[in-house]
Amino acid sequence: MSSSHVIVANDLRTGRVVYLGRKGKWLQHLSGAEVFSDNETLETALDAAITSERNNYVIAPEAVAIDPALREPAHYREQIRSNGPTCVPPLPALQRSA
Amino acid sequence: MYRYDTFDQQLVEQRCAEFRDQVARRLRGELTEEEFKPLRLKNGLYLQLHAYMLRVAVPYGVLSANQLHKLADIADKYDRGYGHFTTRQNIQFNWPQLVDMPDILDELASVQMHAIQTSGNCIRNVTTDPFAGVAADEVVDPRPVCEWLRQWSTLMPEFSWLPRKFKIAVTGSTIDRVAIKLHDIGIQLKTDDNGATVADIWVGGGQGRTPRIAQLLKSGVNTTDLLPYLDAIMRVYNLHGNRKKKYMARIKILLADLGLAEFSRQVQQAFEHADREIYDHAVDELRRIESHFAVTDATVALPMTRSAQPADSAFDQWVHNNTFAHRSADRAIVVISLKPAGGIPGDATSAQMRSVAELAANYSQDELRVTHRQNLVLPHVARADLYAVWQKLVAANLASANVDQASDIISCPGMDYCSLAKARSIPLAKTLSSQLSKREAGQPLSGISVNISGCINACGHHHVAAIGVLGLEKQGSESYQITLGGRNDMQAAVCKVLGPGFSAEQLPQAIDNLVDTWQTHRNDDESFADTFERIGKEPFKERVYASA
Repeated sequence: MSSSHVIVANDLRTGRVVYLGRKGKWLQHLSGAEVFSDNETLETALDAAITSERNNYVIAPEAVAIDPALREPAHYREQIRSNGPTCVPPLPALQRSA
Repeated sequence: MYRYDTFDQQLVEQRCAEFRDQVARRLRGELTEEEFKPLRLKNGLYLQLHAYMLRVAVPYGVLSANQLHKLADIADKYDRGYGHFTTRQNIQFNWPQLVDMPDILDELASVQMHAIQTSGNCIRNVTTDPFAGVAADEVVDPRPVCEWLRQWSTLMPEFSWLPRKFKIAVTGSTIDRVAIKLHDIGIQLKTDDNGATVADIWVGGGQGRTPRIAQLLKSGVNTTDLLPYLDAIMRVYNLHGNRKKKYMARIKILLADLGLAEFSRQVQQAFEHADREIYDHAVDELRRIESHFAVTDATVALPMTRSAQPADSAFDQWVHNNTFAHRSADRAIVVISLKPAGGIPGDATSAQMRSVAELAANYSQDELRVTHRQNLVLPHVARADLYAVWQKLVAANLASANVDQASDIISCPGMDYCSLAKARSIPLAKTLSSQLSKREAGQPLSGISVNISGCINACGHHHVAAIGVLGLEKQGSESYQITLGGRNDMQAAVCKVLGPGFSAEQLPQAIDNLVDTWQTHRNDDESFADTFERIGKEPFKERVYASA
């Protein structure tokens, strides 16, 4: 792999999208995610993420490319995954927070 | 409608207890995700792009008011205050948490609902005509057979691990409102010369990446033979279906490989060798089920007269577009559009669900239906009550008068929710419904359908729309291919690709040009599909790409 990546997964208990932050902590927002710019550190982080999956914190961790300048995923699918649905019904208020 | 007996309730409650234990074991780490995934899928729980998604079965699209109230409660308590009605007549919740799943399933079981077989390679929720039992054109009420099939197929071990998912649709009318020819098995119920119910069996229809129109396998199957004959079809498929390649695994591919004659021969052979003893009491059970669907037109209000209502053109338009002939002249079938201009097809807020549930309780004998076009139906409304019902729908923002109009768009969730999608569907549906609604304000646009799928799996039924839109990824961006000339009625046909794709920004103009072209060439009340069949795609292509 090349360029910059973050590691994304889904939280086992809630299913919500989470990103791998510093010290192996899973975060709900991309803004705090650790960015990996070389293959070696990315592979090490992916190993840690897989261990986290084995320990039943997350599901299906994977690396996704990001635009480091914009600090957002390079592909539109991952942009939507990061930001949430682009259209939601008109609701008075969310009943539960993510 | 059907009410669970002790056995049904016990089965669902046992399933809830089993899944509660499985979830607990997963959370404790005693099951890996690889082990747990097939178990959660068997209970309708997917993992989508942003979160888990729960698909709840609405058996043959029939709901009670109480059940819809419960779905609204679940939306508020465990989700984000809305639900999405699907093209399989089910409902999906987009934000449930795994830790809440056992409680959600218990709540569903308390109103005789579940999520069993809404996923996985098994017989899925049987679908039927949303006007079943009340349509003026109906020959046989298909609901008892649907319930019979539900009981036959639920947790049946032999058919729990099929080569691929399996979909059955049933109609009892000569007008197909459930697209029987686009299902693995389509059943058309009718009566023979003696007035007995018989079934024509269509097989091998489906959409997805290899769309096929079903072929007639056998005509006039009598009720006694129906389950054994379906059993024989399932056994031939289970034995010979392709288990190595997912995209070659549906029965439509097996039928194409074997040919109709050989497939029919094998089914007949399996049928003749079937153990008929296990079906000894099946017809008795069908008779018991039929008693749940007895005709109840007891209270007939006075027919509405023009003097009984105020002059209101919006109401008149709604009556014209959203009400359909009931078997009783004093009643009407009311279709509630979940397609407001600029809205999300099939979505309903919890408040809207409660409003519809109250209407069902007060005006429709406590019953409603879900349609494969992602709308809701009040099947038993007295004509004298139509104005009152309409006023309440207006108050709930549910009075869009566009059923079967161009803006009555079918759309899958697309990439806004679905992990399989290649492009978004919902934003396009919102834009197109706004655009088409404006045209409809000047001139009704019936005889045309616009369906949108976010990938080739075709959950948005684009293959059988007059104008289909298929979302794709092209060079790292969303791209939309237009297809034309599909139809899902008794003359079902798969669409044809128009030409190169469009961006999301270009697509609305292209759709506008297609509608213009149709209206230019249309004879009288000709449908889009008929015009397309008569003049071919060139006039459409010339107009659309000339201005692209």
